Amino acid sequence: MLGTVLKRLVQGIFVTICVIFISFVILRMIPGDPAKVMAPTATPEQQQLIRDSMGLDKSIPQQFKMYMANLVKGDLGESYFKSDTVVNVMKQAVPLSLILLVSAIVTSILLSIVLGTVAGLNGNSWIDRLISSIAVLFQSMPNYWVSSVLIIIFSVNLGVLPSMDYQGPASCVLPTVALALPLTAVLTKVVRSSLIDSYNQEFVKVAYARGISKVAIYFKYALRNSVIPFVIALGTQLGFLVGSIVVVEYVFNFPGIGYTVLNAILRRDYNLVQGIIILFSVFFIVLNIVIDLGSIRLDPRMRKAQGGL
Amino acid sequence: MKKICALMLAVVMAVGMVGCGNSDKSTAKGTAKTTSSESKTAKDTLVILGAENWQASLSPLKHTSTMMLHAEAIALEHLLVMDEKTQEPQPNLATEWSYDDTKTVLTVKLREGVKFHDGSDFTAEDAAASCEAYSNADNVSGSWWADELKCNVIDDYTFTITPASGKPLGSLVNMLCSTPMMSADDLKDPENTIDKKYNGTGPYKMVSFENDTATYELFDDYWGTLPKIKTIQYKYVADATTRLSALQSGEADVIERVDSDAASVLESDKNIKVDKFLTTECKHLIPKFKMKPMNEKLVRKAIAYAIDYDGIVKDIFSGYAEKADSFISSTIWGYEKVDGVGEYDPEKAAECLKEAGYENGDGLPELNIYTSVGFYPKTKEYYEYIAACLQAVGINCTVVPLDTSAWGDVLYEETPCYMIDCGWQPSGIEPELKLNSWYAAGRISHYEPTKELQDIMDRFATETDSEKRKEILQKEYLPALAEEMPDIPIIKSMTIFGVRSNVNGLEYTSGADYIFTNVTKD
Repeated sequence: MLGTVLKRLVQGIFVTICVIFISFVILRMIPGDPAKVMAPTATPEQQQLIRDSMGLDKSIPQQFKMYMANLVKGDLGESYFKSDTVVNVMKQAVPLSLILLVSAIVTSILLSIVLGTVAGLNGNSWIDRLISSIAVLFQSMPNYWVSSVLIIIFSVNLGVLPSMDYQGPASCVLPTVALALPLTAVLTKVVRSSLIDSYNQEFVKVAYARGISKVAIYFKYALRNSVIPFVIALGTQLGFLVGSIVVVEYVFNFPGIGYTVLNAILRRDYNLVQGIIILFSVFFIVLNIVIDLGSIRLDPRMRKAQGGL
Repeated sequence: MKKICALMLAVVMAVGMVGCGNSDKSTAKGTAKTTSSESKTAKDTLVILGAENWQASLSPLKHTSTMMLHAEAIALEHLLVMDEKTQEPQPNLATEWSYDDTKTVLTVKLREGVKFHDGSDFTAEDAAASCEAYSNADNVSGSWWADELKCNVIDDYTFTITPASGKPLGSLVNMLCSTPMMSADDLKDPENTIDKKYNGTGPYKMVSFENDTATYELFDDYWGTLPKIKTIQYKYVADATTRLSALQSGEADVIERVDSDAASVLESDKNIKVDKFLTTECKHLIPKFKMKPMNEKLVRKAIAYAIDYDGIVKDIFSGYAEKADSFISSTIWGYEKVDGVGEYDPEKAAECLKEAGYENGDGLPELNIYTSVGFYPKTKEYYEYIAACLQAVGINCTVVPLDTSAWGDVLYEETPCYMIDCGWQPSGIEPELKLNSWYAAGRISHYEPTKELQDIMDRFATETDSEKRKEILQKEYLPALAEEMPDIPIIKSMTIFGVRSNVNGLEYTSGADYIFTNVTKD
């Protein structure tokens, strides 16, 4: 187990360095000079002074070398526009995004288990078709559209929830729903199909024959068997969820990490964009390691393949 | 399956009807829900949503951004204030001002008893330091000025201003209506003061700046009459739809930069009023002179004649703009319509092309127009319209939309494209705020004025007699620009603000700064 963890960690570090390098180069190659964004009407001499102060006058390899030297010391640099360190900016934004992510994930897990179970236990009935159709509907609706519709209904017309900003827990409700709907749809379909699959397996039929109660069969055999595809699907979808958070936070003007990174990209705030990219890549790598290890732990076949862990 | 689909459709429609129905009906039925007819902001607070991002520094010396000008005008005051009806400067922090016989030394007498928000006294030392710093060519704000200023403090409340060139500066008195007064101590240590917080003499002091929101509160020691609104929150919200929703839901009292499509939606909402007015801004199509054939006057004129300006105003802006008929907006001091500007005449365009040796566009390269997207309203749409107009007279042209940063990257470059879009919204009605920045320096077009035009510019810059200045501007300067056509004015911008109908008395300058003096909320 330790060997697998170490192997994954080494791979993760290598991938992170590649991501840092690629994003570093791409950011500096796309059109848009931070000095010109900061002072568009300044003279070329004034803009050059700004560039010098940011270290942008140096070549890309030199800039990268300096960046990595600071990075190993834990220094991600200063945000050009926030007048603060990148770490401090991220410290303010990450907790707000985590609230959204965690509440969206918890909501989705609970809803999908309930809806997926109802659909799975009533396979091919009208209720199964209804739930499956709603799931397809929610999965196919783009986040920005869902966000806008939620704002129109609950903020503009009903006036019960805030449409923008973070002013307390109520501000999290609509963004959470916008994030949770597509995730719930995917997970519901996974639970449904794996339950139907499980109920068609021999071991469940044998359990019925042995007179085990329906509730026990559901929890001990059918649902348990659905956990592995559920965890894998959840892990895959978390990547999409983190991507969606950029759009959702932008629409709700929610000051989390997604809103921060989009603003930073628009203003060519290189250090801040770079810092958030590192954060995202570390998040994905850790997430993948956790999913891999979780799958190994849950699935005896994979445990065997890994050498009987 | 059909039944299920029908059922789902019915559910979706029901949700839509409940959600999107008229909120007043739910009130009539006695539900206790807050509806969009109610403002959710406090009665003594005004929440304004701005559309332009904050700059890295709040210092007035480091930007020419419109939103930053709005934000600083809430806290900082000017020596004089322009009466936009008479177009005459009026006393404000300065009570008297007069030139000496040479017209190169302006003596300014200041109001006594004025305090900065940090409690210190406003004196001649502060006014002198502000004038020198704001006009200094090393600062970004220096681009507004035709000359730097040198000041001499006579006593605590008197100082003199002299243009650094030693020549008279015709725009000086008008420019003092746009020069923010800052503390001399702050100017010595900007990183810990004006870069982070406004410290002015205005009726509102800035109390915090976080999460892209500046919060201001009434300044009890203000020298003049205090407004009635206690708190102002000025917040940057990037997405236009989010701003619109916040206004409709009552979370915001005022939103900036409403586009013409949304304006018609808001006008039908009884809880919202739409304030629209011409600003000091004009939008221009700017040729890059280093790119042949944009240096050819006849080509530029052909392009100018080929554009259907009325069509742009009517079809793209739905009437929420006016066609540009001069190089300055009609709100600017000394404005006059100029022949040849805003004139749509495809036949004249064809004649110009023929005279230039490009009959029906033969021999011209495929031109392009770089335009920003998401900064000015509807730029992509009206430049596609313009490209179609040019195509109609034989000029092949493509439109290249760029995000704001990429557009800003090439705006001042010499040869990135044949033409580029840009607007300019001066902070006051003094024409030099536009003319000097654009035509004397020519930093966007890289246009170099002819000797004749340069002579007119010099005479205009140094003439201090108001009537004579106006005559030079109207009879010589603007017609000379029309003859040269260094850029092609397209429209005079109309600023559209959405305001909750319970907000009364909100006024604006033509630079779109707010006047809060008479604002109340029902």
